[in-house]
Formats: sequence, structure tokens, C-alpha cells
Amino acid sequence: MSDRVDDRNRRPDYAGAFVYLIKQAFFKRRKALRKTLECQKSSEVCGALLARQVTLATHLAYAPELWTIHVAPLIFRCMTDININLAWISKHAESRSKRFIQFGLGQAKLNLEHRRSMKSREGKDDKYSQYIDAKESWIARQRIEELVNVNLASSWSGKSTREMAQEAECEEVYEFEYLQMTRFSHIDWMSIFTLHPVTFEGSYPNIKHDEHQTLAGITPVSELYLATKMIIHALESYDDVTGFASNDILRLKRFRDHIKPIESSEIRASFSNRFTVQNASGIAADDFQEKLRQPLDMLRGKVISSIELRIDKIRDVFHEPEITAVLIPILGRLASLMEYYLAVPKAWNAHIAPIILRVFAEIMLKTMWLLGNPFQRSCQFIDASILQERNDLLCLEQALNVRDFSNDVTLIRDLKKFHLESRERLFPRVRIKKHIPSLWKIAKSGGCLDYYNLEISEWSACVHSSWHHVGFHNLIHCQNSLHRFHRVPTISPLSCDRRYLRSALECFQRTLAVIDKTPQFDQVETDSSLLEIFDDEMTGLQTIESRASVNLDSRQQHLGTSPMVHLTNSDARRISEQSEQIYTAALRGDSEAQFLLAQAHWFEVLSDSSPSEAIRFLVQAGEQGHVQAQFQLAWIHAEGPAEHRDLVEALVWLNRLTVLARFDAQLEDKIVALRMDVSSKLSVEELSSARERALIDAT
Amino acid sequence: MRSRVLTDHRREGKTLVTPFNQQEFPLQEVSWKDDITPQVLWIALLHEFNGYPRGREIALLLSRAARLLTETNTPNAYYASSEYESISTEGWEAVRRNLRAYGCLNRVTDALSPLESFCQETPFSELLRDGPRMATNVAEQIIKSTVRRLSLRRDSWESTMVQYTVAKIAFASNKVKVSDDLALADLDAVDEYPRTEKSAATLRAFVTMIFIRSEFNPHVSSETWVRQFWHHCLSSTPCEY
Repeated sequence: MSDRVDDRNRRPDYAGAFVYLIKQAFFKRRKALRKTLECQKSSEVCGALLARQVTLATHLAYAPELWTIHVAPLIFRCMTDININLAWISKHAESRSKRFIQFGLGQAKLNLEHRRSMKSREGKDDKYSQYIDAKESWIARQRIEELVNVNLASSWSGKSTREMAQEAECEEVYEFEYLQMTRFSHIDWMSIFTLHPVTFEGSYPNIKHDEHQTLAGITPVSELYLATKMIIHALESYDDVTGFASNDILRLKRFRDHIKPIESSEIRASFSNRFTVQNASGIAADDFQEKLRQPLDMLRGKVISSIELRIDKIRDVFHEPEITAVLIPILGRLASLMEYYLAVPKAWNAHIAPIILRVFAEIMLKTMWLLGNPFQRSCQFIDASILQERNDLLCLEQALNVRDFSNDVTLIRDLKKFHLESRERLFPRVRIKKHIPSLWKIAKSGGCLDYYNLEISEWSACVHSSWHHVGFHNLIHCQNSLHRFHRVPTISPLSCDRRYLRSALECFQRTLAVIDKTPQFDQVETDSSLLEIFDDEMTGLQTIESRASVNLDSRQQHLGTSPMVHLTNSDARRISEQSEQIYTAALRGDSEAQFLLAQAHWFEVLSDSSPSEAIRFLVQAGEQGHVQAQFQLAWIHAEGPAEHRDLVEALVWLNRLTVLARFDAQLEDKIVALRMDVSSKLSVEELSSARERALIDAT
Repeated sequence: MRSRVLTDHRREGKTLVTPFNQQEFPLQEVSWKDDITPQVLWIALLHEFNGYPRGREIALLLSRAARLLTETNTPNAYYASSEYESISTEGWEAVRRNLRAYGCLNRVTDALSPLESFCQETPFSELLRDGPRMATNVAEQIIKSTVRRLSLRRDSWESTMVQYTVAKIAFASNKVKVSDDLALADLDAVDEYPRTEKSAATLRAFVTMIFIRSEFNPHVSSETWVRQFWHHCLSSTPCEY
């Protein structure tokens, strides 16, 4: 053990250095953000895309468990997509940014409409309301919803990714990075067969992963090298738009060149696991994972056994090699992805999870389509993939004839050729030249259009880094109202949310249901539901928080309280249990403790409670900028018990609140209403005096 | 294939066009936050400083004093800040005299002094020439909080009251007239807002009517004051995040 630690200490922390460099580059650019009326849209769009790129790279660097051929291409594909979009936008930044925003708003509106429709059909308020409220307000802050048109085209730019790359003069990115990764991020026969080959001599792919599989099968470089290269490209495009100049790109290039010859395994071994990821309850992801170890192991076992059961069925029922060569690798892909997903809670967040969830959904839909006519569609599936690969190879050859590319592209070409020839030897004839229907069409014919409209389209928006996703997750409002609430890019913190695990299990369960409905199958033994296991285990975790039982309602009614401030049962319990510690903290100047203590006095929780003590602690907290304390003081002086009424003092606190209170719409309205009421009762001299006092105190 | 949702939208190629965007007449987009807020900021400052409804009465008196100068040959209602740019130095003298006669000159100058102290050059500069000045950082705080409350939500109580004052000014200037038998004629019902349903309904009708009328748009989208205001804000204050 000590040897391993020593060994690790001797190695440079490549991932740590990478994260440091890219964050530094990002924050420098954010600090230098140009604030002009002329380029607000391009600044927001390019900033959001860059922030998304840095977020993805950071998540990837923090989780070397994801550096596998099963998951990494999905993330790299998103990063490449961002690079091509950024490069294309940079050519006509403002007009193209506007188009990007309009398309994304349309998508958001369509998704919102589907959720509203589901809400009215199902009547389940809790399930949809939170999402609907958040998206409604997000759209409304940008444009009146009634004016937002919905563009149903698959591409926001009206061009294919190849065309965009050509126009943006970044063909190499397309040929070397995008094409490689995109095949592995879709359920394409060539790629799934590469990952899970079927030999037809009784040997079937091993769906359990005991060994770490790197990207070596599709690219000759390490994951961190690739991520660095992509970040450099994104920074260059961003700088083209904003005119920012710095030497940090040079530093990143030096880092890239330094790590190029280093093997992926060595970089992984250098990983220093000192990054903390928090879940929604504030528990570090690794602790969270530890708590979840048992249920996750149970789920993992269930996933593997469920898939093995279905593979056996397929082998028993279907004897045509085309069918087994398609269906078994698809199930292998599903099992691999689920295994990795279950093993890495760091991936259960809004940035990584939808990328993987979308693949689960594609597996589910394509399986549904294939099982509709297994032999014919399996042939079609194989042929379409081989044809696509031939076309890609042809384009790559043509590009190599016209332009000089790096050696990496030549290596990719050779790898592609090798794979194509071996597959063509296996299935030499092209039988059916029909397109595979889109996922939307499959979902529609399969009766799961609602699932597509609500969930899959949302995950796709994440995969394509649409405005619908990046505008929501990678921008925050500048809180300076004098900046017209323009938005600034932000890197999202690492987090994990078990709802994303539930979504994956739900999708997995749907796939099993699709397979089990196949007419050729006899009744499959019923598995106990993964969702039931999940729900049972999670309920245990959720009840960790104890519930306070002190009932304060009657006391609050008796004393009267301001509309914003009330004492919760858990606070009351905490105060009575820890009154000494809270008192000490309040004396040391902790504003939260002062506020709690003031509440305890005001609501007579303590044996020696007194209203004057409550006001004394409220003033102490208020003077430190505690918003609720300030509002409660204003309320006490304006509308509280007669002996404490002082309208000028109330206005002083209200004016200070308007300086300090931040975007809490509910609080804002109450402050305004109370201030208007107080102001109308005062003379001009009293008003001036209150304003001066508030500002002097505040500044 | 038309989606089951958004059935009121018309399909044009791959785009679903909203009913609003299908209108024959061209719609000029005006943003409450970006275009209107700088124009009605003076009303919000009067409301804030003088309380409500006294602030509204003072705003009406100021617009009335301005209209008295040019009543016969001006199209202005004097609800938007940029409308006050056209008043000459002599005109402002007369406005000052009128306000003094109404007994509210100090209330106006005190309320608007943060705007002048922060921006240095405003449509009200002549009126505030000899008025009180305050430290720029103090003025900035006042303008910042007023703009935040005003522009964050158009349907907040304060924003609604500002829009109501605009409607009152429009009526007082005879720019808007309604038949006596219409519910809209009962403008005073709005004083009950938000306590009664009727007040909310009347207010909504007024606000919609006022801001949809084309003769008001040239004022709110006026380039000079609006752009000048935002440029000053963006260049003189740092980001906060």
C-alpha cells in the first residue's frame, strides 16, 4: 500500500495540472468579458459554449473511470461538436449567435409545451411543476414566449456538421475527432461490433468488464491529450470572437506536447483523487458511493443477469448470424454502459448523465425497431453501417489527397480501413439500401412518443450543447442590474444527483420490456424491478434527516410574525438543544446565529426570552447584511407591536434591504409593498433622512 | 407531421410560427427591460422617494408642467424620459416655476437627483441644475436598486404602478381616449390594485393598450437616451457574480 502511494507521489499530477490550466484560462477570459450593447449575444453564446467545454473537460479529468472506450467517446463527441459550432459561429458571431439562441429557445418552448400537456393529462403537479416553472422563467427572461417560433429542423444552423466544419476551416477536427467519436456515441453496428464482437462459434461477448478498455482501438493518443487539444481549439475560437489575447493557450500547447507521448495508463495512474464531488445533500460523491456500494452492487448484479438472460433467449430463438451479430452486441453495449454508469456516481449530473442516457434511449428504440422484423432489419442495420463507413473513408481519402493532415489522421484512416475490410469479409453483400428511420419515427411507431418528447429530446439538447442546455446550465446572471442582467459564463460544479440513476434504470427497464414483448420469445421469467430495488434503497437514505416535532404554529399566531420570517420546527429544536453554542457564535459575530437567537427571543423559545433582546440580536445581524433580519426589523418598526413602531427606522432598514437584497422575487415584492406603505406616511425631510442613513450605513 | 402541442402555430417549412408572428402588420419588438426601463426610471424614482400614490401625483404634475409649454404643437405626452430632451432652457425655467407653484419642486429634484448624480447628463439636467447632488457611489446604489426592482419583473407591484402612472399621463395628455360606457373609462378602479379583481383587469387592459399604441413606440425605442444610459451603466460599473 505504502509503495503504491509513494509511486503515485513521484508521478506528476497530469489531471490536476490540466484542470488548473483550463480553469485559469477560462477565468481570465471571463474577467475580461467585454460589456457592450453591440455584442451581447455572441459574448453570451460563445461564453456558454466555452464554459460547457471546460465543464466537460473538468468532469472528464476528475473521473478517470470514464476514460474508457465505452464512455469517453460520448463526451469527446460533445466536445468536438462544441468546437465545430464555436468555430462556425466565430465567422459571423453576432448573427449566428442570435440564430443559435432562437433555435434553442424554440426547443425549450416545445419541450415545455409537452410537459404542460402531460401535466394536464396526468394531473401530477409535483412531477412537472418544478421543471415547468424553471423553464418558463428562463424563457421569459429572454423573450416573450408568445413570440418564440419553434424550428423543427435537426440542425440549428441549417447545415450538416461536415458543412459547418468545412466553412469554419476545421475539417481536421471533423475527420479526426468528430467522425471517430460520433460512430461510438451512436448505436452503429460497426462500432458496437468492434466493442462486442460475436464469433458465431458458440463464443459470445463477455459483457462483464474486468479490465479497463482505453480508446486505443480508435485513436492513437491518450484521453487527456485529446481533451487538451479540444480545449485549445475552443479557446482559439472564443478568442477570435472576443479579441482576447493571452499566453495561456501557449502554455496549454506546451502541456499538450508534453503529454502526447505519455501512455493513457500512465496518466491514469498519476491521477490524484483529491477532488471532491458533492451530491444534492452535500455528501461527497465518494462517501455517497460508499453508502451506495451495497445497493449499487445489487443493481449491477441484476443488470448483468437480466442481460445474460436475454442473450440466452436470443441465441435460442434466432439462428441467423445477422440477427445475433446485431442484437447481442447491442445488449453488450447496454450492459457495459450500465456497468460504468453504476460505478461512477460522478457521472450522475446534468452535464454527463444526459449524454449517456441518450445512448440508453437509442439502444431501447433501436432494439424496438430491430425486433419488429428481426432478420430484414438486422441486415439493413449492418448494411447501413458498412455503407456509412465506406462513405466516411472515401471522404477521408479525398481530404487526404487535397490537404496535408497530421499523422494522426493517417493512422485513423488505416484503422478504419482495417475494421471495414474485416467487417465486409464477415457480411460481404449489400442487400437493402434503405435508411434506418429516425429515433422520433421509431418512438412514434412504437408508442413511446411522450417519452421521446419529454426525456430523449432533452438529453439530445445536452448532447448537442444546444442553447436550451448551455444557456440554462452554463450561464449565470450578472447581479449588477445596471448591466441589463447580462449573463456571464460559469463552470458548473461537480455534482451527483441520484435522479439521473433512476432515469437510467427506467430506460434500462423499458429496454428489457421491449425485448420481452418479442413474439418469438416464450414468457421470460420476471425479474424483480430494478426501479423497485432503487426506490427501496433510496428511501432508506432519504430518511437520514430527522424530523423535528416541536409545534410552533400556535405561538407564531399568538405573537404575530412578519410575512417573510417564521421559525421552523427544526430551528426551534436546534436552538433549544444547542442554545449555548448558538449564543457563543452570536457573541462572536456569526450573523446566522444572531438571527436564530433573535428568533428564539421573539418567539419565546427560551426561558428568558425578551423582545428587546430579539431586536438587539436582529440589529446585530442586520448590520452585517443579514437580509431576513433586516426585513424583520423593518416589519417590527412598521407594523409590529405598538411600543416598537418607528416609521423612519423601518424605512432605514427597508432602504438598506433594497441595496442588499438579491433576486428573491417574493421578498422583493414584499419589501416594495411595505416601503411604499411606509413612504406615503412620511414627510419629504423624513424620507431624505431615512435614505441618507440607509446609504451611509450600507456603504 | 404537426405536433399535438402548439396547435395554434402555423407550420412554415420546418418552423412552427406563433399566432403573434403570423400577423399581417409588422410588430416592433420593445423590451421592457432594455428599452422601456430607462424611459420610465424617473417615474419609479418619484414613486420610491415620495411613496405611493403621492409619487404618482407628482409625476403627473411634472408631465403636466411640461405639456403646458407646448400643448398646441407637440405630440408628446411626457411619460418617457427622452420626451423631455426637447424642452429648451427657457422651457425648463417655466417648468420649474410651475412645479414651485404646485408645491412639489423639491420633491421632484430630490427624487431625481440620484439619476443626475449617477449619469451626469440626463434629459432632466436643466431642471436639476441647481438641485441637490449626492456622491456618485450613493447615487449608483439608488439607481441600481431601482432599476433592479423595475426591470427584473414587469408584473411586480412596483413595475405595475409605474405602468399605471404612464397610463394616467397618457389619459391626462388626451393621447388616449375611451368611451364613457367602457370599463376602461373607470381608471380610478386601479387604485384598488392588487386588492380587487376589477383593478387587476382594468390595469391589464390599460397597460396593454398604452404600450401597443404605435405613437408611443418612437419614444420608448428612442436611441439616444436609452443607449446613452446603458452605455454609461455598462462602462462605469463592474460585473457582480
